[in-house]
Amino acid sequence: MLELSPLLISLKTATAATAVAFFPGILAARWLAHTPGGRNRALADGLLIMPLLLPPTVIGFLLLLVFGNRGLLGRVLTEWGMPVVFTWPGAVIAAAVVTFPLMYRTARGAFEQVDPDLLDAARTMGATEWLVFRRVMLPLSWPGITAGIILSFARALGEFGATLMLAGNIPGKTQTMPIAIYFAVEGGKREVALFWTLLMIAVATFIVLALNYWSYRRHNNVTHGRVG
Amino acid sequence: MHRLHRYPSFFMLLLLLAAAGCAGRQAAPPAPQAPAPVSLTVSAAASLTDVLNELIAIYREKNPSVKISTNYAGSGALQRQIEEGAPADLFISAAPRHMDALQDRGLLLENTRVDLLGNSLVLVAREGIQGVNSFEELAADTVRKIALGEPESVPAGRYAKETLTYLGLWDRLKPKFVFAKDVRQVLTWVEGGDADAGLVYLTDAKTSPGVSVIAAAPSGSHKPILYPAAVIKNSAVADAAKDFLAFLSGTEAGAVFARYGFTVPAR
Amino acid sequence: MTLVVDIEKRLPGFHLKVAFTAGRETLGLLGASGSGKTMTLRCIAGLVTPSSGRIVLNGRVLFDRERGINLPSRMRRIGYLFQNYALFPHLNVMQNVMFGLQYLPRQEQARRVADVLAMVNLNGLEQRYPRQLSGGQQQRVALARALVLEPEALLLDEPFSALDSQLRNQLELQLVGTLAKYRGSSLYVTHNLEESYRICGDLLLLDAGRIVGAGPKDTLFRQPPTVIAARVTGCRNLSRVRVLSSGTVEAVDWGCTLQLTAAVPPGATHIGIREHHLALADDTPAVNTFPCRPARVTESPHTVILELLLEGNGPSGAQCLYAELDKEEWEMLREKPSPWPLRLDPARLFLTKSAAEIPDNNCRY
Repeated sequence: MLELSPLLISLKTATAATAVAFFPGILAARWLAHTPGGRNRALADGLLIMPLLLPPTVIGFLLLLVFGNRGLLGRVLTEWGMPVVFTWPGAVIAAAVVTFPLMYRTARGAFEQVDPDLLDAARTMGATEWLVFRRVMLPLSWPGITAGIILSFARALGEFGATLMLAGNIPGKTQTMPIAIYFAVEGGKREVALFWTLLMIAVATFIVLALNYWSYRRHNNVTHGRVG
Repeated sequence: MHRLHRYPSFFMLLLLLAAAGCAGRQAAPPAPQAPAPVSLTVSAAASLTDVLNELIAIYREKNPSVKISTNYAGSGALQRQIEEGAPADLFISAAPRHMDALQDRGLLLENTRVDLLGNSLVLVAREGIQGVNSFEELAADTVRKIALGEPESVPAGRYAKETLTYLGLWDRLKPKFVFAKDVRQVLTWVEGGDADAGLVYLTDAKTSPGVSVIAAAPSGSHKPILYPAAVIKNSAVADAAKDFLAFLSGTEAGAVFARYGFTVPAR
Repeated sequence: MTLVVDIEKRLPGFHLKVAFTAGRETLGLLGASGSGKTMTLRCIAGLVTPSSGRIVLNGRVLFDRERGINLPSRMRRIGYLFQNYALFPHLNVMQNVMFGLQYLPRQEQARRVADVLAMVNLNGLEQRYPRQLSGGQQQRVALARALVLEPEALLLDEPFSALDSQLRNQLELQLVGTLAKYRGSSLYVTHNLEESYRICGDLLLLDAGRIVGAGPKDTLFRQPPTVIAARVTGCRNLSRVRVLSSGTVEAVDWGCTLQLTAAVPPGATHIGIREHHLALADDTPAVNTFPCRPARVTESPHTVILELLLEGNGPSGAQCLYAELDKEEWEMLREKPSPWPLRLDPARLFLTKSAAEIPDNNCRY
């Protein structure tokens, strides 16, 4: 009998991780887009994309140091009854950290595509920075941000190393599809591995198609386009 | 290297970052007056990394013409590599199952298979932890998480399952289990106290000063833990492989293995 | 209605330093690209922070470095018409115009939008998106969007540079009409001489971040205060002078002696005359008439530019005079053998000054 929980856990984890990475990713992108360059900016950018450069196992290990029994944060959270290690929130945190750079970088690229004159125009029309962001920058970057969401979700769905390290492999709780696939392959259960792999491909394909279709619809409805 | 584990948070990171850099330092250039040089590839279970590197250094002092490349990985992965025709002259597996698979497919050189080593399964906990003194106490409420290798894919996990089943604890402890992808991961979790206890090989427990051995699995509670070794059939340098295997089976190597915590079967 | 600007902006490789006051009439900022016109506007609008100085609009301090005042753009009440109009592509005409009005009551919003759209003649296009509009319509939306907020000053950055030339005349007339009705100060940036002359009352001439001339446009064009100002206003015929008597000078670079109608003003270093003020076809003897030969001819659809060298000068060392002729005049002139008589009308000559030497742009053929 095949347990279907890895599918649900994967979908739940990837959705939550994308949502968790979304807001900080957008804020960091807004913070660093269109600001004058310099060493500090390069340093901040480097730190923010670090999770993309480090192997996931290393990230998992670092997260274990922070959230684990040895880390101050980990001890405080456990004290408050919110342990992270070997729990589903741990899986979400691991996937969110790994997926954050993709969200941040694609959003920043999208923001930088927006003509700075449009932002200045809004400013001279009395708009606060928040309004400039919400009513000009965000709507004009939406296609790029959608791409960032898709990428982040796909990456979160495929996350293995950091998740296993921080959240462990607990069937029904933290065992996601990639973890199920890994252990099925290692255990020589080819059929099970193949089943999960095909399911994974199906899910990924479905999501990408659905989001592309949705963003295409939206694109046409809202009549995006630059002044020619 | 072992000393670094005492400061795991910082040095483990350095270790991971520096891993690539260290890898190249092992091999020394062969002596110039050597006879016809031979190149030997050994595929061995990752848990043998430290002890084999030490033994290779000893062996090469006596046989400078033999250049030995090592390929350390999980036994399952090595088995599949050899099945796919990856170059390997000598295979040392952490479990008989993988060697059996190769033997069934006729990929081993006949009459070269030996049970090179034995190992024992132990219960470990973080150094200085209170309240875990025996397998039975794992059922106490104070023990929340128990780390073991995933039984289907990690040999140490399978032995752990056998022992806990033998002791009648498997079903009761089930909600506490966290399954790791290898023994190293079990140790990482136990060292940090994220898991309260774990089941690992004695040899691995010895590499980790952050954990202490609580109890050994009772004899007969699991199938014997054996490390079979054999020369691969299509090895081009089978004689050199046999010679190196003979060295590993000898008394000098046996002493080194014992120092690392392995048992050497009577031959 | 006054806008007082006295600012400095230091950037690597560029130093802007301007001080001027704009009143009710449209003030033109004329200069080549890179002279600092747009930077000046951006400083006034609060999009760029000057390195030092102050900006005061109708008694309201917008920026004062010494007192640490720097109002954000949104609080300056300054309308800005961007060179590419910067219309929000994801909003329709109505939404573009209403963008800055959201703090007003609904009824007031509707009234203002209706008024301003009627004023710029855009009724009926409310639901269109910017990319569905012609360039001229886009310009009017941008203008409406700025005017609807009733700004105290209006900054226009080359509003015609993005348009085809056929469209310009009609639109220029409309813009002049709109600006005449507008009651605040307006600043009009352009690099186009004719445009600045048609649209603005007073002009500021900018060159390399400095004001090189300021005043009513007629005076500036007739009597540029400096050599650079003469250049910025499009005069290419400039020569160093040596004063011979109170009414006579030697034009060193052209190689001739010229009679003047008035005494030489003190400090004059150069003499100039505009291209279309040079006369060629007249055979009757007159003062300041010299034989000349053409060095190069450049034809345009309706006019011809001649580069002329005065006779008696060697093939090198002398500087050309540029003369602009009608096609008809040129057709008649080309029939006659050169040298032709070139007349520099004393009433059209102007004297000006410069500390710097004129860069070497002698003709050498």
